[in-house]
Amino acid sequence: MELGVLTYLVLGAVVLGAVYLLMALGLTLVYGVTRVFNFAQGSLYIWAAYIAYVLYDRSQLNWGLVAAITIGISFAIGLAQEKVMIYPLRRLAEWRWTAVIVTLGGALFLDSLAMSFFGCLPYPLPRISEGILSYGPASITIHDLATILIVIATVVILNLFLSKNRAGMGMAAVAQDPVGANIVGIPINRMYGYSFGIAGLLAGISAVLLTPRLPVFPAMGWTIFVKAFTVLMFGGLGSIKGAVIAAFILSFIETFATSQFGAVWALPICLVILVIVLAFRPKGLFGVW
Amino acid sequence: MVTKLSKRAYILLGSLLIFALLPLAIGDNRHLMHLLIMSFIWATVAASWDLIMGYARVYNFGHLAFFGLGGYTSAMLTKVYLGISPWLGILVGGGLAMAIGLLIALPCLRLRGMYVGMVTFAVHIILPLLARAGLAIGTGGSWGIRDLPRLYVGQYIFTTLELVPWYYVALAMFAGFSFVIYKIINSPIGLAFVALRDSEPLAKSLGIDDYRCMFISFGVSAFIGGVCGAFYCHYMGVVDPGIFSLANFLFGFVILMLGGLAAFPGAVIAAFPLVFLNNALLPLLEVRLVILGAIVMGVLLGLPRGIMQIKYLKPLAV
Repeated sequence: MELGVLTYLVLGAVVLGAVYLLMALGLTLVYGVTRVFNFAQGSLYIWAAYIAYVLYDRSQLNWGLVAAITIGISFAIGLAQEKVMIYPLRRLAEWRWTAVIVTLGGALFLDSLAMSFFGCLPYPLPRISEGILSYGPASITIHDLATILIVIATVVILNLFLSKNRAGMGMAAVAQDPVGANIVGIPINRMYGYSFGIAGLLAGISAVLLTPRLPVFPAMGWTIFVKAFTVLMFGGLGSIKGAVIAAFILSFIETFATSQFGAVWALPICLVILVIVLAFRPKGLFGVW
Repeated sequence: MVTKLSKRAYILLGSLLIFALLPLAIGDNRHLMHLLIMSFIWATVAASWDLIMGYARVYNFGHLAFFGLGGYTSAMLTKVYLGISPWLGILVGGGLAMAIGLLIALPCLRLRGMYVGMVTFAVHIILPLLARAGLAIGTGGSWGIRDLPRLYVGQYIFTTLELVPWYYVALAMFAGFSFVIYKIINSPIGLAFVALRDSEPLAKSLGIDDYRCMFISFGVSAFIGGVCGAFYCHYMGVVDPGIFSLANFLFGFVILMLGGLAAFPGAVIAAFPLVFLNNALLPLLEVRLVILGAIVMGVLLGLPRGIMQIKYLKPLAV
């Protein structure tokens, strides 16, 4: 393989892995705090991408502003999702069982809404900058570089938030023991809301970063969701370190398999990895729960 | 020995009789017959889904995958490969769906709750991609397999012009499988499902084999789903990757949710109005799915146990 092609593939894999990582962190955060898998995570992603597209298309604002507004809106969507889908169910005895089904139903609803507004055609977003940095045969677009840096910054900030900030520590406490957290006065409802909000925010960041590379279309949320879930299971629920390692392993396997066998095999390979992990080590690489 | 039939049994036998005699009155109304046939198919699919999701409470989000697998198997065997009789094709379709169901059950045995849902849903999402990519093995790619052989009895071949024979086959399938599902729910195995669902440690301590229950629930529901899918494809005369679409999934899901989980005839009853509603919504194109999605959300948030929660309607088993 030529060196230029190789660096191109490696960079593509790194960018893809970075975005899967953000989506997986959104899932794991919600699962950790509420013990509910949020099937609507992929739908939040496509909606964030569509919102960014509409904002950019209508207002011609610059990339940074569009991204900031989109991320803000997706945070709000995440909060709203918790208020609409999770909060009303909590009076039921076995609400988690219903809640999972509700998030799946909500995801299908949001997807069909997107389909009826935007149709099946893919919509792209512009890049942060069209510039390219090159060094010898290797080159990287500024957008890819910025993506990697933004993801690293997001993961670091999230880590700090969970370990230093009051609300973040509250969420970590609820994840460890909801009853104990409630007894010491942590407002559980608010923590539930935050976890969904941050999951929405992470979906928003992923969307504005990835859509310039992969234009958004309604069914896309599910492929991203399945990959994020595979990352999660592979890395182990509740472990950020595991998620980071798994995201990059998965994205490398996917990128090189795609370049060798064609794009159709990306998801089936994902499923095979998922089944192998579940069969031999259901806890994942560094699983906590 | 003469057993006195309960009021319920009279209602069931009565409605079966009405369904059996209905073609005499409306047999020449092809549109209505078509909708009733679809209702029978979807009622059976939803009831078998309820068996695993409601009673066994295994998060099986891949039931429509079995439906499509049954359809593809039968289509490929009757049209592309061996040219076997469609009747046999339908049975083999169910059998293969069951085999795949058991295969999926294997990794799920070690998983709990929502993980199963994710794995089964991933299977559902991946199958249409494989069906599109599988030109080489005869899935027909995006175009699917068209002009499937129709069912026949002796020399008589079913056509799309005369729907009454299809109607009776669908009715027989519907009534037969509903009876089987009812019997399973009320058998020791059905009780074991419910016991595992309600308190797994206690059920296991009493000697209920959870692996066996998982296998049975996957196997039976996948078989019924596969048979329904194969029949559906022969009835429509075509199978394409759209059978695995999320739209199809959503429609089955609406029926299941409106019928209520673990409320046996609920899903069966809900299938009829929803098939008619779905048909009425067809001109709205994509908005149809938005409305179906909204129904799911409305039912789940407002009536979490489905229509059987309504007074005077009681599930036949809990």
